[in-house]
Amino acid sequence: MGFQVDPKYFDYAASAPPWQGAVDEYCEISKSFYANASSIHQQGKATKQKLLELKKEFCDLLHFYDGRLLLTATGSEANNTIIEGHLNKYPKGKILMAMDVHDSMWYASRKHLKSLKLFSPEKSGHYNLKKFVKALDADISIVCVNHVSNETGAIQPIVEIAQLCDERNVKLMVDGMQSVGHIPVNMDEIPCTYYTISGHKFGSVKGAAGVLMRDENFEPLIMGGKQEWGKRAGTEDVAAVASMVKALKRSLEVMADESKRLRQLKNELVQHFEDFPEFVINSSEPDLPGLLSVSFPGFSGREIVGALSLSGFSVSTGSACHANEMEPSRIILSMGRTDREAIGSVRISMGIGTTDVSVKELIEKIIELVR
Amino acid sequence: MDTIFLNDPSYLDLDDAYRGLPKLHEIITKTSNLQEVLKDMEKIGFVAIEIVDMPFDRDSWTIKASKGKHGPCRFDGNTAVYKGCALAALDDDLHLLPVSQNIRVCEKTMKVLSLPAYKNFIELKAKDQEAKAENENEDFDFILGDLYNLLKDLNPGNTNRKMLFYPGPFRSLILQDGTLVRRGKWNAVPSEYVDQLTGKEGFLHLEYSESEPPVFFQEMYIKEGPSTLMNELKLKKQNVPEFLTDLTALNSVSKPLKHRLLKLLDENKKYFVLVGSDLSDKLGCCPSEEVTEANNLVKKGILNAYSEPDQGESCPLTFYSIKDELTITDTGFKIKFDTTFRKQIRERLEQSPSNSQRLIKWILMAFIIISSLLAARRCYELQTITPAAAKFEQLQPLIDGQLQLVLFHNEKRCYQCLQMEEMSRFVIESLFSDDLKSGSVVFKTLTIDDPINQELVEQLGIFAAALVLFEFDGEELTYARILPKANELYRDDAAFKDNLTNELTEILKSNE
Repeated sequence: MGFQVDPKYFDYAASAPPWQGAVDEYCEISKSFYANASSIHQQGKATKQKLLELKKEFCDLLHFYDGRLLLTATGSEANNTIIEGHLNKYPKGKILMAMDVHDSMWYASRKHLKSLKLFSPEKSGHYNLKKFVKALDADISIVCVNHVSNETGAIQPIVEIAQLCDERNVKLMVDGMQSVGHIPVNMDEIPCTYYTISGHKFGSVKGAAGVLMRDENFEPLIMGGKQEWGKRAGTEDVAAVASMVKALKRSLEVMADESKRLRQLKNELVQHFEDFPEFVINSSEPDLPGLLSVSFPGFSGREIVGALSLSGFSVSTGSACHANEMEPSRIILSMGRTDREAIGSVRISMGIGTTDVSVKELIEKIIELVR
Repeated sequence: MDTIFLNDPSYLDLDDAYRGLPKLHEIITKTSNLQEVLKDMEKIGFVAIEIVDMPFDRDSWTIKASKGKHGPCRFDGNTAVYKGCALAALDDDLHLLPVSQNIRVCEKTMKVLSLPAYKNFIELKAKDQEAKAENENEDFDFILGDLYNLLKDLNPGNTNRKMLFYPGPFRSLILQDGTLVRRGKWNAVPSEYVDQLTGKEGFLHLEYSESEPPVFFQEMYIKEGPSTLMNELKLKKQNVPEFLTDLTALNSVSKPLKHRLLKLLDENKKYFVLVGSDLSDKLGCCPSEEVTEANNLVKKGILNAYSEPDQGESCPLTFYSIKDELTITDTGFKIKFDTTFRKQIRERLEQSPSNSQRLIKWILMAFIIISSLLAARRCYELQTITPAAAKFEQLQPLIDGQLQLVLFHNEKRCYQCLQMEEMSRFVIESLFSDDLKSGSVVFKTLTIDDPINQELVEQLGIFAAALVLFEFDGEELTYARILPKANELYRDDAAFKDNLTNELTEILKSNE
């Protein structure tokens, strides 16, 4: 890592600490390629070539050979770009959306209600392919799903879903924020149209995100420049791509060993929580090795997060507080859990800085809180 | 059709343009550096590359190409026939197409070969099962071997030749006399073929100041083997953990692989080439049993495998050589035959399994069959049991002749048993509501871990979630049956409900 990450940090799914190399690379490229990639002078052209080189390197790491990386500043912008861009291009288009998607896609359920059809995951948090095919009406123009659910870590059958969409000529947008850098992603095997990514989830600097796109038939969200093939105006952040490349390389290097280690830590958490029949484990395999969602019915996830925070632990919850009333986690509810279970859900996500000791301490603290 | 135009593109410009092209769409590029751009295009994965305009000053060549194929491939009986005037053609996905022979192609290659560039040279046959069956010789290595055998006795050296430029769309052609022709180059071809090549194959008379010697496939094949047709092949040894050599793995090789290995040994070949991917790679392009078998021999320390690290979208091409014989160098590869090891391999291949091995095989098979029969019997016994006359309080029927559907589950509920419970309740409550009201059918759940249920659970042989039907004669338990399908179908809502409905209906009918 290069610097000390607090072992009590259990919120890697929200944002992972950056790799030292990714930070250094950001600084280095910022200094050596400061020209605007759209400028026509020599330095501008050199920056443009560097940008293309880095994008190709990033795409190749994900076995993505037949499409481009569109840069955005955040993952939410990437998701918005495709949904808004698609509906602006095809105003009569209809979206089929999984109910466990991130808020940066879920906003469409309010804004584009008439254009939307929803389908829910199973109790395990996974998509059911039969249900999916049933929901895939002939008038659906784009499907929006997760590769990995951001709250439960459920790994979805994305290859099969992509093939089903491809066979029916339906565009598919996959939110890959939680998958890239955490599980092997082979874009050559996922014939989707758009795959959105965010660098800070796998240890790059923040402000680096994008869409791996095989189709450019959508209207830009940000206008006023021809950058990014006219799909996103604004000066490209070459250093951010460089940081993503470094971070992805490092994540891939450690992936096999880290997956094994994190799975063991997760199993330890599960074993302890299973001793209490009232607790509900929301994560089930296949899932991310380092992410566990667990519900403590009768408690509020926010209270638990707050109480743990006082002891120095950082975890997160999908439930929210609105007008002094607890709102259950939408994603946990979509899996068929009760309100009580969804309100009491907590997400524990681990990474490179998590240790055996910190996991044991967290278990003790949680059990002390909810017993 | 969207077409992208590029002038003097760098490798990265071409790569970016390729990525931005919709599937199978075209790019047109003008360049003064023909060879460099052609090489880049081939590496990136363009297909149907053709030089469509040749300037007088040769300063600005116009090249047209299309985006290649992507994703996993599927064979569904399509075949392609090359009908040009060469002996064979090699396309940009490294399919070797001998003239007038049906070659099996996947659905993606079918789309590529349907591009206008190939219109005059390729005949496609969609889902022609007969043609597929005929075609056993689509294998790259064997086709090359056949071509070599056909050409090896020819001595075309003294023929009159003319320099012709080959603009594509194939990567290479092998002419009837063995002359090897490369795209984008001047090739010395026999004068007698000139009319045919310029008329039918699109070769061009372009002024050329120097006379180049012809290149013959048969000579190159002896020198380089199948890599003859690959420009600038950069092989890398596949990273497989080192295993101790286990020659017994050769006992079970299939006939085609045995034939290939013997050929390698008999003809002192350096390597053989296989096209396709390992069957364990579920989404690999062109799945091949032989590749899987050969990879097993690599794991058993008999062969080494080499491939290009970035094979783009072509069906993977793997070179196999005898273990430790081949060394990759900057200029190609060096070979040092290990005659002792080759002899050991030959002896093993020629050996048929011994009688003692056969006997062991038969004993093992008999053991497996007997074990399977015993297991099946035990399984049947578990599924249909009649517990001893003992009365189980937890099953005490409220009315005579009651049918009870009981879900056994562990104290810690899992997803499977929750699903089974929900679906069973649905069936009972919605489809057997009258029976439920009258009490002739009941549904209940029992905990496996509860000591009260221990005796019943032990008699039934249950250790995980299970759905069991109990039938009573009066108060006497007469019949108990575990429904095995319930555990298999818990993920399939409709099938689970159908199965349970049928089970209950049948029992209720038989009791009427």
